[in-house]
Amino acid sequence: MLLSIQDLRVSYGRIKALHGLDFEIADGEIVCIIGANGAGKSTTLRAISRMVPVEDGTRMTFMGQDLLKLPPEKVVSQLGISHVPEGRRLFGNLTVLENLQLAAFARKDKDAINRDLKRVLTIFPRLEERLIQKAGTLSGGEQQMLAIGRAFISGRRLMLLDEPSMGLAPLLMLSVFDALREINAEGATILLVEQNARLALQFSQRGYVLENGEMVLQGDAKKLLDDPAVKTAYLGG
Amino acid sequence: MVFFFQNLINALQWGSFYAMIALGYSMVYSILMLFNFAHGDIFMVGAYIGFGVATGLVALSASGFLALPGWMILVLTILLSMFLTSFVGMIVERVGYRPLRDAPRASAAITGLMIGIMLETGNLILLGARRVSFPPLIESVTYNVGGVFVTNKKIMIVLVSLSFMLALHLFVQKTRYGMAMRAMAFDYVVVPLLGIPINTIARLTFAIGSALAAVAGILFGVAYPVLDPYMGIVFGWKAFVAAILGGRGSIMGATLAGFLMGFIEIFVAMVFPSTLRDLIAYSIILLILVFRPHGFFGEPYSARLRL
Amino acid sequence: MKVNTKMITEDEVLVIVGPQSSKQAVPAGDVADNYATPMISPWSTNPDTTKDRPYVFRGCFLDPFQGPVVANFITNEFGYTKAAVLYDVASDYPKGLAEFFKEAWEKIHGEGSVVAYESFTTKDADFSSQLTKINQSGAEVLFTPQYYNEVALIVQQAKELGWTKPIVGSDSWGSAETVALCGEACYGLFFSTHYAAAGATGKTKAFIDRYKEKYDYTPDDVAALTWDSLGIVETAVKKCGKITGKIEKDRKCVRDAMAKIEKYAGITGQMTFTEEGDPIKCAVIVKISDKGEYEFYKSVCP
Repeated sequence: MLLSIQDLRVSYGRIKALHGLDFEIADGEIVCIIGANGAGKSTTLRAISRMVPVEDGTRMTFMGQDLLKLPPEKVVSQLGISHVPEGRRLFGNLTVLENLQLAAFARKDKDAINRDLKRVLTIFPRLEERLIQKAGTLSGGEQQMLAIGRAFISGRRLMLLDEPSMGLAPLLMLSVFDALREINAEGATILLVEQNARLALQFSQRGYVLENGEMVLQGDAKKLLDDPAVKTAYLGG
Repeated sequence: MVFFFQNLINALQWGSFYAMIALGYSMVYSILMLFNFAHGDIFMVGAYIGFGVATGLVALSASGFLALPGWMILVLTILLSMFLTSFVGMIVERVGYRPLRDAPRASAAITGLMIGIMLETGNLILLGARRVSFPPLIESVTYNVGGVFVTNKKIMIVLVSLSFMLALHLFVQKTRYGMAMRAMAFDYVVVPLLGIPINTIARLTFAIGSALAAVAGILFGVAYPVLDPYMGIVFGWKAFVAAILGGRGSIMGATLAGFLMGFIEIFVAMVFPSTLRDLIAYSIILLILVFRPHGFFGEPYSARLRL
Repeated sequence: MKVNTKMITEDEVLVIVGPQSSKQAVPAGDVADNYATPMISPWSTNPDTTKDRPYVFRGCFLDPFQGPVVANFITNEFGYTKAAVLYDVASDYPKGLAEFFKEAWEKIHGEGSVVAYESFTTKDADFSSQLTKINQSGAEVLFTPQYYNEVALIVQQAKELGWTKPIVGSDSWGSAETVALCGEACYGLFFSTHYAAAGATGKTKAFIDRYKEKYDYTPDDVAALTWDSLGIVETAVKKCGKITGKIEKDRKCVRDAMAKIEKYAGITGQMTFTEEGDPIKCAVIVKISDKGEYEFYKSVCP
C-alpha cells in the first residue's frame, strides 16, 4: 500500500471532526472521498499533509514511513505528497512562473525541475501564455491549472486535490480532469475530495463516502455510482 | 535655494536611517504578520555591537598587530556586526515569536515590547547607564558646494544605505528565498504545502532585518556618535509608522515611506518653528493614511490564518 | 527627612550644611525652616529650596542667573549683536535657561536680536534642520544650554554644516563626559559655571592644591561650593561670638549673621545673600582648552 491510515481522529477544539477513519490507497490509483459539506473531507486531506494535528492512536504510514514524524514541509519534500488546497490558494502577488518555481523550492535536481516545468506547460498550454502575469489575475480555470501544476512540481507520488471542480465551467472542468488523468497515467497517485460526487466517481477507480466524520461506504467507484443510498444522498436521486 | 538643497542633503541622511530600520520592520510585519516591537532595540543592539567591534578593531590596529585603515575597519565592523546582530534577531525569533506564531496577534506584539525592554535593561546591566562614544573611523571632511555643506560621511551613509536597500530588493525579487518570503507575505499558511520550511524563512527574515538594523546602527554611530541604551525606542516607533505607511508586503514602500518621513520631519522644521515639528509632521502622515489606509503600495488584505 | 529631623531634634545641631541635590534639599529645607534651624545647601539650584524659608540658604547661583551672565559675556567678549538659541523644549533646565538668555539678550540688543530660537525634543539626534536654519539666520553666536550628550552632537553637526562661529553653553556642559564624547570639535568653546579648577589663582588655587594632596583628585564644583558653604557658616558662628548653650537662641543668631554677611570672599567668588537666602555672586566662564581641559577664563558678575 502507498498510503495506509488507521483510526484517523481529528478535533477542532471540542468539536470532533473525524471519528476514526480507516482507509488505504494503492500506488497508481485514483481514489475519491465524497460527502456533504462539513463531513470532514478537507480535514482528511489536511491530516495527511500534517496541517492539522491528529489525536493519539492515529496511525498514518506512507510507503512504510510514519507520516506523523514529519512536519508539513517534509511530507512534501521527502515523501512527494502534494496538496492542492480548497480555493487553490495561489500566491496572487507572484507571477505564474514564480508560483511554479516556488513549488520546486526544496528540490535540488535542476534538470528534472526544468523537465517538470516544461511538462506542466505542455499539459496546460494556457499557462505558458501567462507565465509573467501575476497569478492573481488569472481566471478560475487557469488558477486551477496553475494549482495543479504547482502540486505536480512539488511532489506527485500522491496528489491530494481538494474540490478541483469548484467554480469551473463544465467544459473547463472536463479539461482539468483530462489533464489529471494524464498525470495519473504518468505514475501519480491521486486522492481527491469532491462535492460533485458524480464527476468524482466517474473519474475515480475507488471511492469512499464520508458522513459526519465517519466512513459509511466504500468500494469500487462504478458500484458506488449505482448504489441506491449514494444515489439518493449525493447524486440527486 | 541653498537653504533648500542643504535641507535636501540633511533629509537624505536622516531618511536613510528611517528607511533602513523600516525595512526590517516591514519584512517581519509583511512576512509573519507580526509587529516586531523589539526591532528598534535590535537597532540599538546592532549599534552597540558595532561599537564593540569597531573599538576592538581600532585597538587591534593601534597595537600594530594588524594595521588597518579607518575605512577598512568600518567595512569589517559593518560585516561582522551584521553577522552577530543577525544571531540576536534569530534568537529573538526562536525564543520570543515562534512559540507564539499561532497565538493572538496581541500576545505576539506585547512579546516584542517585553523583548525590547529586556534588550534595553540587558544593555544597562552589561555596560552601565552611560552613553558611549562611537569611535571616529573616518576623518570627517566637509565640502562646500556653492554654500551647501556636505560631508564625506553623509555621502557614504546615503550610498551605503541605498546599496543595501537595492541588494535586499534584488534578493527578494530574484532568489528563491526571496520568492518564498513574498509568498509567505501573501498567504503563509499554504507555504509548507509546497515543501517550504516556514521556520527557516521566518528565521531568515529576522536575520536579514536584524542585519540591516545593525548597518543602520553603525551608520548612525558614524553620523551621531553618541549611543545610549534607549536610542532605539523612538526609531522603533517611527519605523513602525514607515512600515505601515509603505504598505504591507512592499519593500519599496517601506523604503520610500522611511525617506518620506525623514523629508517631512526635516522640511517641516525648515518651514515651521521647530517646536511644532513632530506635531505637524505626524499630522501630515496621519492625513496620508486617512486617504491611503493600506499605505502606498499595500493592498486590501484579509489574513487567512487557516487552511 | 527622618535624618534631618533627628539631627535637629535629637542631636541638636546648630546649623546644617547640605544636602546637595535639589531633590533632597527642597524637602530638607522645609524641615530645617520649621524647626528654625539654619541650613545651607551648597549645590541645589531649585528656587523652591530657599523660597519663603528664612532659615534656608544656598551656596550657588540659581538657573535664571546664567542667562544674563552668558548674554553679558558674549556681548563684552565678542561684541556680537545677533544670537541663536538651540534647546530641548521637553526638558526644564534647558528650556528655562533658553528663555532667560533670550530675555537678557534682547534687553541688551533689542527685540528680535535673537535671530533664531530653535528647539528639539529629548532623545533627538539629528539637529541638521535647526542648525541649517540657524546658519541661515545670520546669527553670530549659538547658545545651547544642553547636557553633555547633546552638546557633542550639536557641536559636531554644526561644524559639519559649516558653522564656524562660537558656540556657548551653561553649567550643564560641566561634565567630564562633554569632552569625552565631543572630542576636538568642542575645543575652544565657552560655558558658564560655578567654578573652574584649571587656571585658578589665589585662594581657589590653594584650596585645589590642598584638596588634591589629601584626596588625590581635582575637586569638582560640588566640593568647592561645599567648602564655601562651610566658610560662610564659620564666619556667621564667629560673628555670633560665644555659644550660649540655649540652642534656639544660638540658631537664631547664626541665621541672622548669615543673612547679614556681605561680600564673603569664597573660592567660587564673592557672595552676598538676598532676602531669599540666595547668594548674589559672580559666575565663572570656562574655556575648553586645546587639551580638552576646563580652564578658568574670566569671572562675570551680574
